[in-house]
Amino acid sequence: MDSSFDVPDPSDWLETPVSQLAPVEQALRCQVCKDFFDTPMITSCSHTFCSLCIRRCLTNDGRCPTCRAQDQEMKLRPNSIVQELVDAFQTARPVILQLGKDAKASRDSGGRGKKRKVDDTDFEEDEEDEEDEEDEGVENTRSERRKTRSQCKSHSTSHEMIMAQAVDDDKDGDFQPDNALRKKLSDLGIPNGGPRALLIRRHTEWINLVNANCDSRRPRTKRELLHELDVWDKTQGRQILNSSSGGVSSSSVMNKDFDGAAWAASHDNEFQSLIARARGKAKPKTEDAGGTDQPDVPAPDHASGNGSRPDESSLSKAHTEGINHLPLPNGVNDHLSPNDQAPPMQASFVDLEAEG
Amino acid sequence: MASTIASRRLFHEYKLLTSNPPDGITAGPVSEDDIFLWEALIQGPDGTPFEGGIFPAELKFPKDYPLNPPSMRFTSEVWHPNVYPTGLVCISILHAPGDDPNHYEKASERWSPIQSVEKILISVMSMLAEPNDESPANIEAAKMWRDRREEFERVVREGVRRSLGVS
Ligand SMILES: [Zn+2]
Ligand SMILES: [Zn+2]
Repeated sequence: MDSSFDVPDPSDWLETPVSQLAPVEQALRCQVCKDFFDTPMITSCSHTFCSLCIRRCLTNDGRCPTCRAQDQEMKLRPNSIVQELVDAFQTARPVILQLGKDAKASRDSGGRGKKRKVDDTDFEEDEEDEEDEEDEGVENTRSERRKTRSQCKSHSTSHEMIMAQAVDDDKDGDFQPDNALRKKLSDLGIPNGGPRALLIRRHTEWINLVNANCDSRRPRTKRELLHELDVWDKTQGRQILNSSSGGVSSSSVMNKDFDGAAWAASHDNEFQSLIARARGKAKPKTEDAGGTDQPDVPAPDHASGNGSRPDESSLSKAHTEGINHLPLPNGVNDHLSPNDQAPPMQASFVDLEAEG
Repeated sequence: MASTIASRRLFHEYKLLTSNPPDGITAGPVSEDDIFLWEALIQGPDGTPFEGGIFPAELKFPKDYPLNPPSMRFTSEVWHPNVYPTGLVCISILHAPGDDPNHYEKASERWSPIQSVEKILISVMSMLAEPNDESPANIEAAKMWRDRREEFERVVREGVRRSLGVS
């Protein structure tokens, strides 16, 4: 895992004299991914999410995550003032945060300041170092942040092209065996290996990535999108593979024989410290609970960047071996159930699935 | 392994839970190597037979989290109508919207990507205080809770004492 537990978040403000900025920052973050809005889009129910986040949600269950209203991808509209607020806030953030910390440090003179690297630029770092000739229509636009409306239109045109293509595919999709599906994926320039369920989900993810990229004022290169798809394949794709090849249904989770006592016993130390912490924090009233008057043990301060606990790597190995292959709570099929709110691309695959 | 939306989101939730933990709840990843497996400790709510107990559980997150909810399983014995004998917790917030095994839950109570680990654990705490016997996971426990409340509370209290090693 390439990132530590140390992610910038609104709680960074709480220990500064300007803790009032925590809710400001909270409002500038997407409730799905918890990061700053990236290409914010507003739904027809007036909720705002990152373009990619809401597209994934809508292809998953067709509903707004906040109010559960049904919505369609084609009704999404850019919420550009939110993007400007996010950009401005992100520029100001490290400066104000540092001022706040300095003020706090000089006030406590000797009080411990949080030593944290201010790093909220993860998603921008590759912006300039890749120019790729294959990337027709996906220009790199750092210098063009102040895009005019007409320029934005060129993006939405390419967006509509993809949607249109999807509808087109639907028409000739009366009967499409696996190899036709594979050909379609290779025509798009994305990997075409794996079982049918995986091909379909990979294709949906690719469409979401491309459409969100078309919404973006800072579109990424095709190579970057392919990298993102590769990450998807190695995480969610692998999970789909495991759950479909194993043939396990969600009901088998319920019946799965899990030896909780043995598991707990093998992680005794870990639990002891957690229990000590919970007890220390909670101070139960009942004396018959026994041994409850332990001293307060402070919760681990992962904000300070010291996230490691002893014996962790060995513990995690045991865990992953012990309880492996828990299938998706939702079978793959749930995502393919007919849904009249689904975007055209997915609808075409629903048809394919019914035929296949 | 590359960082994904799911793992970043879990980092965010973990940071928030440690910087501002709700009363009686502790939760975090088992290790830095696998952000998708957490353990949690839930304190038995005051004024219930679970009072004084500390209940360990594990949460396992799907790779497409938060589109779909984690599963949650108590790793010590919990005698409760909504907890399977295997420890698996069965409440509506842990069920994906399209996935209603019990056919009685309102969509609004079920999982949505804006729910969180914190909300799950708070829901489980209130589940301990107020069982729902409409579609029980543990039928014996549900019957006992409904028909023989005193016996139910005694069984729970004994379990709590056993888990603390003071029976
Ligand atoms: Zn988002
Ligand atoms: Zn909404």
